[in-house]
Amino acid sequence: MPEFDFDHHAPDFKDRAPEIYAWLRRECPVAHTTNHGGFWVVSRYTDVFAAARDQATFSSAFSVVVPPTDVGALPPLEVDSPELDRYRRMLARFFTPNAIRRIEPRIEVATRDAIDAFVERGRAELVSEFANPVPAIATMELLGMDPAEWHVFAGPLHDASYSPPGSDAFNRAVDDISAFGQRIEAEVDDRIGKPRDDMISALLADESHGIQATRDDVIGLVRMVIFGGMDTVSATMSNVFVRLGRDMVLRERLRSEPTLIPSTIEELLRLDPPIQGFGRKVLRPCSLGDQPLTPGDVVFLLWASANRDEAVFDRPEEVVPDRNPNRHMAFGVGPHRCQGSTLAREEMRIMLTRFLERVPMFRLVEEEVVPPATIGIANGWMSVGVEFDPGPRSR
Amino acid sequence: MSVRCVVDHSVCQGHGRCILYAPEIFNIREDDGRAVAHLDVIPSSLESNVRTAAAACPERAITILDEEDPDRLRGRDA
Repeated sequence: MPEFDFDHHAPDFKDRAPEIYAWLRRECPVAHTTNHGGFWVVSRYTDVFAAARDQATFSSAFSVVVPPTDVGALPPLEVDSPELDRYRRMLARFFTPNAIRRIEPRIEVATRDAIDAFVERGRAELVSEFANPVPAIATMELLGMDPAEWHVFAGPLHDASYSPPGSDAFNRAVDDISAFGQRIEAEVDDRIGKPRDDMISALLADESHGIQATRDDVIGLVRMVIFGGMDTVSATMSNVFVRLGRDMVLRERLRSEPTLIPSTIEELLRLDPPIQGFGRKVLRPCSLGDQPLTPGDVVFLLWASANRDEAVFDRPEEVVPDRNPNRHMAFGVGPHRCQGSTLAREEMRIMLTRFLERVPMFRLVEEEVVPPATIGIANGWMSVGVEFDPGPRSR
Repeated sequence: MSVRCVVDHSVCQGHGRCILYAPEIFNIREDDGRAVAHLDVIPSSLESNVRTAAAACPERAITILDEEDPDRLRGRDA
């Protein structure tokens, strides 16, 4: 068995990941580790692609976070077809490009207000003041919940993402997540029999596949939208600001050519995806690459390594702002691909565009650029302190 | 020459990248979130956009079929 001491929760993994992934792709593309209960690490683009698109062999009906982390039901993340298809159909119409266009003005307002709150100061901590609130507020607006309460949800999710599993901080955050679960149940219950003009009410009325949505279905989907919509975008934006803070040339180029912002965001998603990978459970005897696998095996599909695969991407370690095509897997691939990707991309485009318009020059305050204790769940930064010339509020 | 384009709905997952590159041709269906092509025969003015869209699809769901010019086909048959 090709054993390798792989631990994506190791404290130095954030810095070492690119080199570890490159070695795995070259030397041991399907490697076994005994860490975290034992699993297979899949690092090449073609193998990740094949496994992610074959749910009959590689099941998601268990904890896809490696090691297993119980934060309650998150449909459709951890179900297979046919339930998968019904849940995705329930969500689909809220995430089409047309639907996202309708909530764009609200993303603009949340972005403007967040920048207004720090722009006169000439200093900001971009995670707590910008990267966390904007996607969290947009998610609350999308669901029809009170955006002023974004922190009730985004706070514990952020803490859980960046604390090592088993630590006190992690356990506290998981407790807070259970507590906000009751808030979600109350939001759903408030709409049963008293529908409003919002997403939660529409989900309660859903009859996709001829099946009337249940209270539990809707609670699960709301949890999923909150889990998927908040800290992922936040993590990515923190990565974007650190990259731009350390790459003056790229930042100047985006400032003078803002039309490059969307393709550059794709490129930064490719290099620094918020989620390193997700697990799948093997259901039947099969092979990935040359490696035979047996039922019950867990494979960890490394989106982050596939995204740097030299067999697919030319100059994989470089930021190529206009790379095209750029078929990275930051949003996953196959029947579980991130359903909120269009919303995430719009949020990131608006946030980065408006930020560079109003804060054209900024400097990282390096002692306030703090990495998380682990990137095993989400890859971002604890804090990103910046300084800049103060500017005026917009109103 | 004209080209046709087909979206394979057994693999399309509605990423929506095709719409970015060829909004005149592709749309996302409201009911299941998958992409549809409005036209299966692509006007030559849009051909390069559709090729870019196909190359951008993370699922490789878009196939471009090159169709030979009908006149040339006739010529060859004769």
